[in-house]
Amino acid sequence: MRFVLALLLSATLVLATYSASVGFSDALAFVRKDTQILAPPKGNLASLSQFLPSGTSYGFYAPQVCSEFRLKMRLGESATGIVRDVKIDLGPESSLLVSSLSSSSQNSNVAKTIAASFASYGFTRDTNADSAEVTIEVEIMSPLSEATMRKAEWVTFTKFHFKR
Amino acid sequence: MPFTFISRCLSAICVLIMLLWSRDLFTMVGTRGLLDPNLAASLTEVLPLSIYNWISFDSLKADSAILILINFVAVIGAVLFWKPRSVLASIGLYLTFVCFKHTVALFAYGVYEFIQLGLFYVMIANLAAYAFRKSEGDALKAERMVGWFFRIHIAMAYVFAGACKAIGPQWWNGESVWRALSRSDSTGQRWFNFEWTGQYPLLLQFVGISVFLIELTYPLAFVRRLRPYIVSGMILMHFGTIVTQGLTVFGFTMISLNAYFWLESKELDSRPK
Repeated sequence: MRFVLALLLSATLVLATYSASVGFSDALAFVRKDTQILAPPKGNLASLSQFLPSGTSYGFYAPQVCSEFRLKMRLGESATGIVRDVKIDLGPESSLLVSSLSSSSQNSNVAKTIAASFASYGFTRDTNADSAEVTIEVEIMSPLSEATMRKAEWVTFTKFHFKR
Repeated sequence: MPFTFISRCLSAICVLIMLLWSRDLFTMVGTRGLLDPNLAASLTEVLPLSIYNWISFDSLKADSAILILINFVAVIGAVLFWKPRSVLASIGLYLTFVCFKHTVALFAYGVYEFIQLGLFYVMIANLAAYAFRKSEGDALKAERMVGWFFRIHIAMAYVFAGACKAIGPQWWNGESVWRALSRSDSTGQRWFNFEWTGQYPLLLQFVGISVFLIELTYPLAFVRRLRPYIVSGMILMHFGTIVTQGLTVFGFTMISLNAYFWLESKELDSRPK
């Protein structure tokens, strides 16, 4: 029985170490501006690593702290010409979770899907609106050497338009 | 004792997370949420326990299932808090929590990984204690083995976190600490404004190097004499992330894991071989 237990725990640890190594090779590739990374687990092994606590890279804030992304949405009614900004009221922890979702927008394919997801949220809640404009903004921060001279500013990263 | 402690901490954190989620649940997920079910469902092939594997994502049943799921996590979490060594409650909490994590995968951040990690070892320790219940000595040995694996897993996670930071220049020159401290207050949780730290680049550099050094050297916490310094340093760092970045749930989860590491190590040191 103890042998089976040891086997299960060893397998979990080995798989977790491999996933962490994939994250490390990803960070290394980022620093070297390279694209070659260790192949992540695929198929059943990927599912198993997600079921066991073995599917993460632990590379939080590494190799550097990336810029913050945020999504802004405006809904329009073609019949009346009214355009409204959509405000999403969220608690502190939920804001953190949404910011985790927004940060995936740095990948342009994912950005479009997330923007569509936001537009769908807007259309569901405002049945009169027939167009949505979702803007993804990124915070450009000054480097540390210019920290006292320049303030951070939000600039438009990309913009998407959707029709109902 | 250490597993009782970590079981209580993690179950309380699970209940807290579900309470936080309940405030904005249907703004975030479900058929009318920010995370479109189509988008969430597109990831399900690698997430075996996502509810979108079983329930059509465009039906109202998905909303009900999510609501039932967070209630299950909260109730089973409360049971495990009450009976921290219960086998059924620990299995139930692990499965429902992972199911929830897979369902809201695109929102999940680091804390979900570490809670899953902790709950997994709590479940295995409880199962081991149950399987060897006829012999106290064997049960102790099996639990001790689970404790070893758990601590090695925590140490491995820290080593990789430190290594990933150390390979780029930004943690060496203080740039990453500056960015982490002065990024926009998008979470609405930041308690203080730390932009003034930009005037002290040497301080930021010192903090940056200290962060990845303490992560990289975390396995030294297995050495009895060095343990107080390493574990307290790490707890201090996580407390810092709570104050400076508002990572409250993450910070308390990591502090619990470090406290567990300390308690388990002390217990193993004091126990006859």
